[in-house]
Amino acid sequence: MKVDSMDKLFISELKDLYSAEHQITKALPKMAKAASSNELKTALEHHLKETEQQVQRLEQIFEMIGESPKGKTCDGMKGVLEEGSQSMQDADEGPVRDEAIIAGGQRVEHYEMAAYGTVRTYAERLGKQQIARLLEKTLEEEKAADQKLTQVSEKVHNQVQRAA
Amino acid sequence: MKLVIEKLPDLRALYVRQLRLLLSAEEQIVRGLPIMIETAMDTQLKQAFQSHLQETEVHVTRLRSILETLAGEAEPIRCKVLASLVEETEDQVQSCSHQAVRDAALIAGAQRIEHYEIAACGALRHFAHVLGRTTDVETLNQTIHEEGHADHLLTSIAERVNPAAQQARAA
Repeated sequence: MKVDSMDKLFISELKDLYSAEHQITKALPKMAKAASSNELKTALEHHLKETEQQVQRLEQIFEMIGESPKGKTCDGMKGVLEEGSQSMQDADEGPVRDEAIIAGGQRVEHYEMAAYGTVRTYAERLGKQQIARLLEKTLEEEKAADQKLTQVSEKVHNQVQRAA
Repeated sequence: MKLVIEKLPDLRALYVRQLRLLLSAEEQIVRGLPIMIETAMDTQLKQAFQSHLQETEVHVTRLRSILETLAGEAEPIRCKVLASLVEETEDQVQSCSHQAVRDAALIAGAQRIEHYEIAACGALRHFAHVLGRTTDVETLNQTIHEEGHADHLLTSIAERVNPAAQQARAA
C-alpha cells in the first residue's frame, strides 16, 4: 500500500495493531499455562478476555471507516513474542520463569501502548472523535494491564527470595 | 553452527541475559538513529533524534559498566526485537511517498522503540531491586527517565507534524 496521506498511514497502523492483537490472543494462553503463580495466571487470563474485546473494537473501527482489517503481519509483535517465548522456555517452571513471563508481557503492553497512542493521536487529528475514544479505551486497558503485571511482579519477587 | 542456548537457573542469570539483550538493542539504536536523522524532514525531529543518539551512547556505556561489574564482561546477545522494530519502521517509512507523512511514520516507529526500551529497562530495574543491586537500580532509573523524556518529546513533535501531514493530503 502506498501511503501518501495521514488517512492511509492511519489505516496501515490500524492493520498493524489488528495483526498484533491476533498474535497476542494466541500467545496469552501459552503464557498463562507456563506460569506458576496463580495471580499471574489470573492476570494473563483476564487480559486474554480484554484482548478479545480489543480485537472486536478494532473490527468495529474498520467497519466505521469501510476498510478490511486484514492484509498485514505485525513483525514488531512477532519479534517481541518470540523473544518472550525464548526466555520463558529457558527458565524452569517457578518464580524465575514467572519473572521472565512478566518481563515479556510488559514488553508486549508497551508495544501496544506506543501503537495505540499513535493511532489515537492520528484519529484525533483526522477529526474521527468517536474512533479516537474507542482507541483511548483500549490504550487505558493496556496501561492498566502493564500496572497489574508490575503488582504481580512484586508478589513473585517475594517467592524468588524465598526460593533463593 | 547451532548456538548453545544457556539455561536460566536463577534470577541473576535472567538479569544478565536481559542486560546483554538490551545492550544489543541500544547498540542497534546507535546504528539506526543516523539513518533516521537523515530521513527526517522536520528540523525539531532531526534535533530530537540527534540528542537521543548522544543519550543512547551513554546508555550503552552504562549497560557495559553494569555488565562488567556483574559478569566480568559485556558481550551483547543479538536482540531480534529491535531488529524487527527497525525493519517494521523502515518498511512503513519507505511506503510513505510524502515527506510530512514519512515524519509521522518515523515518529510512530521511534515511539515503539522507546516503549520497548522503557519496558526492558523497567524489568531490569525490578530484577536489580530483587537482587539487591541498588547502584544498578539507580543507573537504570536514570536511563528509564531519559527514555520517558524522549518518548514525550516525540509525542509533542507528533502533535505538530501530524497536522502538517494532513495538509499534505489536501495539497
